[in-house]
Amino acid sequence: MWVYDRETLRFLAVNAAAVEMYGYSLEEFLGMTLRDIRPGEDLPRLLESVAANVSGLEHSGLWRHLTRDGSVIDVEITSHDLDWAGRGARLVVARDVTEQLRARGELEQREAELRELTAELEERVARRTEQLAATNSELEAFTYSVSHDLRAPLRQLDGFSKILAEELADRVGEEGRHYLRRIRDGAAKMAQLVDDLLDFSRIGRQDIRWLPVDLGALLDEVLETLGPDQEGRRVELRRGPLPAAECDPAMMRVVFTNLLSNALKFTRPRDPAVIEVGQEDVDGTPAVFVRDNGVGFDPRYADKIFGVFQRLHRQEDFEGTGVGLATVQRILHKHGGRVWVEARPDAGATFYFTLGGPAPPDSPARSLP
Amino acid sequence: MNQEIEILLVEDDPADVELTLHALRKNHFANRIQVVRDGEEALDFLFCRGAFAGRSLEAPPKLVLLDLKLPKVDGIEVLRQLKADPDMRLIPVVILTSSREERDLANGYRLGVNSYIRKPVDFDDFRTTVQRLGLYWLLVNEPPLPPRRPREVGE
Repeated sequence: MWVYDRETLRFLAVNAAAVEMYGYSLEEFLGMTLRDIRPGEDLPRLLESVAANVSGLEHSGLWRHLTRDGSVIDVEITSHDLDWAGRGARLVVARDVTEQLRARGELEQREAELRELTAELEERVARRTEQLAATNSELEAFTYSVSHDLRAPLRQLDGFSKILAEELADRVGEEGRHYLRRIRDGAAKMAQLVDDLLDFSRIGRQDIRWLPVDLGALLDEVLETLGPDQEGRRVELRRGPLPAAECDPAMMRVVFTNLLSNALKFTRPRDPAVIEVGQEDVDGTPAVFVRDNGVGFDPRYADKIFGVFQRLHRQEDFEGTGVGLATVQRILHKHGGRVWVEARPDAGATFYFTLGGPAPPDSPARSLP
Repeated sequence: MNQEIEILLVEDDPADVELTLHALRKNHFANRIQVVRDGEEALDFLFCRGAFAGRSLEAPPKLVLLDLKLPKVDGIEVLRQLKADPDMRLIPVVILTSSREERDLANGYRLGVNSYIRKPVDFDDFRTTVQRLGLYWLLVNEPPLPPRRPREVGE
């Protein structure tokens, strides 16, 4: 705070705060004018402003001032007319806003950097999404080709073997017909593999259609389609209540179909086969389980069982391509859930799975293709 | 042609041609089948032009068995041209393909195909399917009348 003479611009009085802020002593101040605390280039503006000074209170705004050691500070000035021992003077209150301005400037800079970074990231995401879309459609074309082109040769393997066995039966003989049957079996297995792989690949590329699904009703539907697998056998199906959940009904149908047809398959040596489906709390999380009293397997291989093409039993004992459980795992991972299994050799197996849920609308997971 | 062609088989894979003919032979359709190996030949045959300019438009086949993946002009394009022609669209067309792709199914029906059959990989199933197709479309189904009534030529 200080008072200056309106005519000479000389300091008439200053307070202790001014002394501290500017670094000049009281005596020094009284020998100075307003000009001495301005950077040279600001002087014209100063003189203009002084001349234009309104009488009464004025907020004349932001100014740069020079301190004794040469540093420039930013000050906010408010001033008022004063009569000082008969002379026209002006009282000035100067607020040091240097730090404030600096902080604000830094904040604005940071915000600008952030905006730039965000824009860059969004561009990168857009490009990646484009790339992924392109890869996806390449994969579709590849799958289409596979689905069409692999089937014809398989049919031909099967067909000509059969024709040979039928039309040249005597010349081919019993042994020959046996080998031809092996050829046909090989072709049939490969055809099944092609179908399973295509399903596996297609599910990997599909987006989930989140819908509220009554899992119990879905289970019942699947059990009905598996009727033929139960014919001529004693199968005990125990069913506990299953919750409703947000999930993709078509994909969950695949999960149930796989798990249940596995249960039916590996309980074939049992009479009765006992299969139980329900909901259990596992470490505080509700999980759906499918339990069977079938042949089970060594728990040391529990992780391998979800690998593509991984089988833990001999082909001649239990048929299968080893893709089903890999597909189940893929589906559950897509849903943000888990699948795992507990088993013992000759004592059945229990498959558990949990479902995550749809990601909240603006989370990163939503924008992934 | 001393005997009318009843089935036009459009198939580019020679092994599949052989298997299909083998299946149809059982019902004695074999000598009434014309095989063409690509879409261009199929159209030439049906529209009686090019290599088949000598054919009569008044004696269309009773059935076209159409594969989809063909050289030169593909199956869907053949179908499109046939069904766009006011006379040709009467001829029953059955798509017989390995493809299980949904878009082929959708496109086929949208263009007015009469039936869409996926070729089974298992030969017994394939044989039964083809035989049934032949029996149905040639014996059970009533073919459409040809565009111009044939004159009495003492058949």
